[in-house]
Amino acid sequence: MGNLLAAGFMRLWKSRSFWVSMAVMAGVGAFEAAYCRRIGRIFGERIELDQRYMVFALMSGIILSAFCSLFVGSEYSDGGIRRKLAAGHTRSALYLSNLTLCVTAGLLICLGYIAAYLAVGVPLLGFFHFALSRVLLSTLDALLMTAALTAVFTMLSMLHQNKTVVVVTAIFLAYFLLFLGIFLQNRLSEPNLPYMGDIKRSMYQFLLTLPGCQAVRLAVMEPEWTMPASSGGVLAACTGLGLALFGRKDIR
Amino acid sequence: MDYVLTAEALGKHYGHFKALDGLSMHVPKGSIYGLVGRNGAGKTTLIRLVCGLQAPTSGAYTLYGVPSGDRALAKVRRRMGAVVETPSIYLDLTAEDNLKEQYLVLGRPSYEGIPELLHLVGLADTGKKKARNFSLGMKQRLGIAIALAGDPDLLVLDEPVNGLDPQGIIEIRELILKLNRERQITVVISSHILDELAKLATHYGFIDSGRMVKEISAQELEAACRKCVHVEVTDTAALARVLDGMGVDYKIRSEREADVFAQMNVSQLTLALAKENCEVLSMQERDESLESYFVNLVGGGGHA
Repeated sequence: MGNLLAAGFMRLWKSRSFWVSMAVMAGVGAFEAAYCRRIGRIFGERIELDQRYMVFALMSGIILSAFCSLFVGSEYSDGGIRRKLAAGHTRSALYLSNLTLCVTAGLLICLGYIAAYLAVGVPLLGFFHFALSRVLLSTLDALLMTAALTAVFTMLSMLHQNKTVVVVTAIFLAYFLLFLGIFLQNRLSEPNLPYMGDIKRSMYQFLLTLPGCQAVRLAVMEPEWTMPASSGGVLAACTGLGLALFGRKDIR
Repeated sequence: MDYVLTAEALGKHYGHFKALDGLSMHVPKGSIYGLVGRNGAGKTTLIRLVCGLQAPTSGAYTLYGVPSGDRALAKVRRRMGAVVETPSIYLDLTAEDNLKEQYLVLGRPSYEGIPELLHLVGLADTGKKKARNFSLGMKQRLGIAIALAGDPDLLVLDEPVNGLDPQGIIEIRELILKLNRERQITVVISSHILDELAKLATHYGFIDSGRMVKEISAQELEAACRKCVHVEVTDTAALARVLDGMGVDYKIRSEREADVFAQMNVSQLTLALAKENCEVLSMQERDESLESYFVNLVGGGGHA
């Protein structure tokens, strides 16, 4: 698997979709920080660094849905999977190396946002207002959620050979999870919550911990212990399922 | 005879469709083995199985004596290079970067052999040009270079000249012959272009409906396809006596027909037969090609 990772990182380094994703996230990070400063000046308010710091949690799913499906999809369309299997690599090594590459790329893309946001934001807005532990916990939860979403998109990309179908499905799924999260958060925030049935409320609360949905809570730095558990569970389940199905897949 | 690749009763089913149905195959070491068959005969499926892209439903194949299903097969596959259908190349990388990537995949210690490989396939001057901008022939040659990156003993090529212009076809043919003669690489090649295959192959495997109809060496095929004069006479027994007297090779096809494998003096033969009270009804020169051999073998009505 080491050889596959070495080859994959070389390809990642030269991947246009990786650098475009990184540039978009870093650009948004820098823009968000500058925008907070401008809004604060216009309205004469002090806007804290915390306010837009976690925007990357909302964006990472959408950016990575496109990146993973394009990066892994070209393994099929350009024949990379064929030449690696024909060179004697096992299917599990191939799957895990692609997952590792996509997770690494996903984390780097998020770090691109964080670095740009802090680089522009700290001089303009000052340091975090929230406790550092809360900021760190939210950041780690968001990064774990990103890894879980990457596992979902990698599984989709490894199991379907049509790149276009995978790109469309993955982007749709990322948006669906985000809007589901917003919908659930709104419902759970309604004033008549006490009148919602227990089962329904539990269901809503459970769904809100799913990777993608939980970004809505993480965006306002409200981490819960269930979030990393949910992300870890999704990551493990998708990887297990993906490995099992890819192991039996007929590759054309 | 040493076989690099063998298959016995190999089967591959997609639902109810049998892409391979008990196929057997024997690829001798050092040969250029031409796989001949119509569209859908099972050539590409066979190559996919051999390359590990799909698993057989039944039967087995061996690669350098290691049977399919054995864990050691993955290691043995490193002695094989393959181009399955389209060349496996990353379009957003240069030719050199594609080869570097393959060297890393194979865990080769250095990039030392890359310039030589690029030179071998005629892509030494492509510089920073991305593979996306290559012609079909260049892509095909880069695909072969990638397949050669691990210094394989066996090269599997699926339709390597498909869509190439005449110059491209000649370049690929010369490259394959060079690899076989100079590097002693065994080549398994499937192609629809039978005339082209006939210029390369030392052995043939004719596939139809997922089965191996016949395996034959080029020498045997040449003998089977050699030029002959098809003669129709009133008495083939008399013809046989005359031809035996002339010391000529022949084959009696029926009571009235025979194939004579020699250039003859027609007057001399006719006079000799007349003495035996045998009349010559017709004479035709025949030259069977790979194409006609294939059609005779598997029947018409399809496309090779």
